[in-house]
Amino acid sequence: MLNRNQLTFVLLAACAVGAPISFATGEGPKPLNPLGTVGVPAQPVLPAVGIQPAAVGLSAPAVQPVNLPVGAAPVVGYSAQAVVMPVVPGNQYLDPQQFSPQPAPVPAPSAGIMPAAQPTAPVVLPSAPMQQQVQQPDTIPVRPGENPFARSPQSARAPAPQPASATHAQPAINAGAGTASPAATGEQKPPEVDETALRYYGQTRDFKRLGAELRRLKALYPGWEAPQNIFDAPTNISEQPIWDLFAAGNYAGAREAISRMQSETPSWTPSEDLSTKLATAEVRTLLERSYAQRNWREVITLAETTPQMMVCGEMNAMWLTAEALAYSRDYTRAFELYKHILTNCDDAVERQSTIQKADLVLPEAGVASLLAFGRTMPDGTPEFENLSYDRLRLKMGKIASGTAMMQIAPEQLQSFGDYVQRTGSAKDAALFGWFYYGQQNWQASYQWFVAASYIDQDAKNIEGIVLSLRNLEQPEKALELARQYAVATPELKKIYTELVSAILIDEESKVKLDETEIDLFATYVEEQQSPLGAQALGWYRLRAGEIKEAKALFTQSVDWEPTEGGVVGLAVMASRAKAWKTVTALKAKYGEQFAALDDIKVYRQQGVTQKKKRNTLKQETPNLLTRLFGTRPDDSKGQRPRAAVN
Amino acid sequence: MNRKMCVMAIAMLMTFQTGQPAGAAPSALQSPSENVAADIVQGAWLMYRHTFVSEDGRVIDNRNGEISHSEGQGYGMLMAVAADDRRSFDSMWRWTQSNLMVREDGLMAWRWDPAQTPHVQDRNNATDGDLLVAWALQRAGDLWQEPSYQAEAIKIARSIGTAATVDTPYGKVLLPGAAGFRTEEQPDGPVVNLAYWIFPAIEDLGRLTADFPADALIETGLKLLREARFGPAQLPADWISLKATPPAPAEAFVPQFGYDAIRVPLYLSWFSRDYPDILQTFADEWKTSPDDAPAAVELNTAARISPMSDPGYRAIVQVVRCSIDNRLSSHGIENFEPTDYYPSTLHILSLMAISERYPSCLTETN
Repeated sequence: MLNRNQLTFVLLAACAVGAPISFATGEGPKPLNPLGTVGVPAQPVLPAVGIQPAAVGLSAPAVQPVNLPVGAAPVVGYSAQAVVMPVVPGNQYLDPQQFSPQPAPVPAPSAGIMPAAQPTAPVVLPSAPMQQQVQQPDTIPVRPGENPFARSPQSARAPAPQPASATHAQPAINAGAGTASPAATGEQKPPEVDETALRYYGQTRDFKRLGAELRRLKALYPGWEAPQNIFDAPTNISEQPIWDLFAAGNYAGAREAISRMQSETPSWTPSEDLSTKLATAEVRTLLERSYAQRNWREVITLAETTPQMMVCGEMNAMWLTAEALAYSRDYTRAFELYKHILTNCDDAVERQSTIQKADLVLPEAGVASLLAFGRTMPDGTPEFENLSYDRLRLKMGKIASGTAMMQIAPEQLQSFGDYVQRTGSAKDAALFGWFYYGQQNWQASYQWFVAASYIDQDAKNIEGIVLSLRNLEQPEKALELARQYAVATPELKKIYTELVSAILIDEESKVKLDETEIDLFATYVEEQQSPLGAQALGWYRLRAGEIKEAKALFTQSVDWEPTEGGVVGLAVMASRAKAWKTVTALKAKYGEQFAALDDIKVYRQQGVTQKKKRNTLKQETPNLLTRLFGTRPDDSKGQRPRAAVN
Repeated sequence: MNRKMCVMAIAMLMTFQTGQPAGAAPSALQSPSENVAADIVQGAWLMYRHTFVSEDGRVIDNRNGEISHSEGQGYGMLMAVAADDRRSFDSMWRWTQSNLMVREDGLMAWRWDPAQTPHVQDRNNATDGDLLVAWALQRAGDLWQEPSYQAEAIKIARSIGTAATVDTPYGKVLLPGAAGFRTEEQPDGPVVNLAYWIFPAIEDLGRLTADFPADALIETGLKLLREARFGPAQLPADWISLKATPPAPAEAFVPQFGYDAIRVPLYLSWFSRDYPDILQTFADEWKTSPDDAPAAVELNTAARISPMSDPGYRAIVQVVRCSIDNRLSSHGIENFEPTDYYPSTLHILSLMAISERYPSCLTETN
């Protein structure tokens, strides 16, 4: 069984970086999912997986709204066969029709998952107060794309006219709330102009040809400006050593080399290219260092005074600056800077990262508004659709791991479910799996894990299926799958061991295990040094009358780790052998730890050993005994345990 | 009047827009690609900018303590328009506004000194600087279709008309500055400087706004050019007193044809080819100069007291030749090389005058 920490880890890993996406602002963004809330396509198009593509149906049954239109039966685009097959190709173990507790032919998904059919299914958790944001600045309900932190959203909507002089790019950093600046877009890409001839004429002082070339270039490239440095004299001094220092990140060394060369050759000046790049690099370094020192004020000042850092080519500097602004609680300008990036910069990965980074520092409303700057992708979907679900993912993860109780609107789940189905995101499908698993909606979790493993036969998805099946009381199916994948990961081997152990311990289990299975199991137990497995095998041997083997197994189990089942097993063996000293010794050694030893004289092994959680044992044992014997024996001294009688 | 308008594209645009009868213009108009002088202006401007204009738009007088003045800003802006260099124009205009427009009447403080605090010590204006800035703004507005430049040009032109002109027995004159040159301010006032009559600027600004007394100023200027000639060389003095008739070299200044007055024939040539009679006096003086270089002339004796051998001064001689004969007296004007601020400025202005008024004077073949 996965322990809680592992589960949490899995969930958090699946969530990656969470993005608080707010749908709570008054006017709220329009639904980002163009599919709306219903209308799951009957045959969703999935990425080519190569396995039974015709019958693919990655469905999101669990989040279907309660009141489906009658005519919308195929809305649950779920084909049991199709979904199941890919997990274990050629294997029917996972066929819900075969394992479903429902006798009727399955729309198992809908029956088991839809709230309408199973009202108790906690598809939406009862309300608990939403987690409060630590920082709650004043925000103004705004339309997507507007700055929710601007004091006057009106003025933010109507950019202040720029002075005629503002012909150069004005960094977004300087764009305050009231001057959402058109210059924020001002990153003009200079045309690629061949200035070779220009420089030649400049250096040879042939002004007539220089003028003619200028005229020609201006006609070719309207808006082009002659560079400042065309008269720089060609020099024999090679800048290469300085460039080498520059490339190695040794900016101080490069500066030193420049001044040394200048003192040797007073007429020499470094090329404009070198000067500019070096200066920029120095500021970049300073900015990064200031950021590392959490000197937000310095970061902001550097950015304000170095407009050339606020360009797409200096993405990291812009990110750091925006974060510094946000940490200084200047959300208005932080927003403007993120907006500047999303408006002007084209690198797809950086754009995604921008949203994720903004999400870490901006309050919800800001990120929600920034999502509006997403572009429409070639396939018609919104650029940031995936990221827009990050907050929901985080919530689902927390709910699944039990670290938080919060409410998720059904329509959000529905929308997300549609998205997952449409995009075939295995990770998200698995998240749905764990989400419902955490709510003990095994049917739903099973469906989602199956869906996830259809895309990605990740061991974690298989685990999800196995665990769901077990909880659906389909131990045979669970066992089959676990056995098949036991060698895949230690985790699955452990789950397999636990499954077999549970069957062995449960005297009334209907699952019959053949010797091959027992041998395999024994091998794994040995391999994993599993105390549970050893003692379970012990009880199995004991029932078969193989006393010696049983005793050895119990001893082995306690050797590896004293557990209640193992210790009680030893006590029972001793009791059978009337080795009362041993019993007494065991009680003395483990009595405090394992309360079941108190009842050793009336012990029935399956009663205690089925309990796995030690902390619930004390509470449950009396009930169990009451159920078994009607009354709690007040003094069983000398009486042989029932188990021993068998 | 046989005024042939030989202008480059900028001037043509301006002419049409200001409603000047354009009948004569197209016949002599050369396409820009054939206008050698215009090309040289473009290229030379970059060199000039590289040498004399700071990053923030200050035109630096390198021989004069790195100071700047309204005249230099005006020249720089004028050249930038001719070279279609709007970025430089804007930066120079910004610098001018920020640093020189400190007077309430809309004119500019004439001198800015980096070594002094405050940089502007004397708030008086220099009227030629005001004229140049206004003219540059007017041309920039035409070329780049920017009405706000025109509006600024009109404001300055009106201020000049109000604050820096005065009526005299000779007619309406430009005062060199709003303060210090009037009848009551000089013992032999009013005192004028003919080099401040930038005729083409005065004419254009007159078309821009009727509030600017262009016609009267031009009339007086031409009159003074004919009457205010002194000594054996019959050249105008840099500074001229209009107290009596006839005019006389102003008492407070050296009586010479010097670095101010050297611009007089340049501006007149730039203005029109219709005044060979006036220009001939200058040409005659230079005919006997070695290397076609003009010189500062002491007027009482006509002694050449210091030669002006920079290529920029010699370029003026060529322009005057072009105006009189439509040919150059020698080669060399095309070889711009930056020396000092002032002659280098005059060199490019001379090239502009040729490109706008006498383009056929400088062709590939000559």
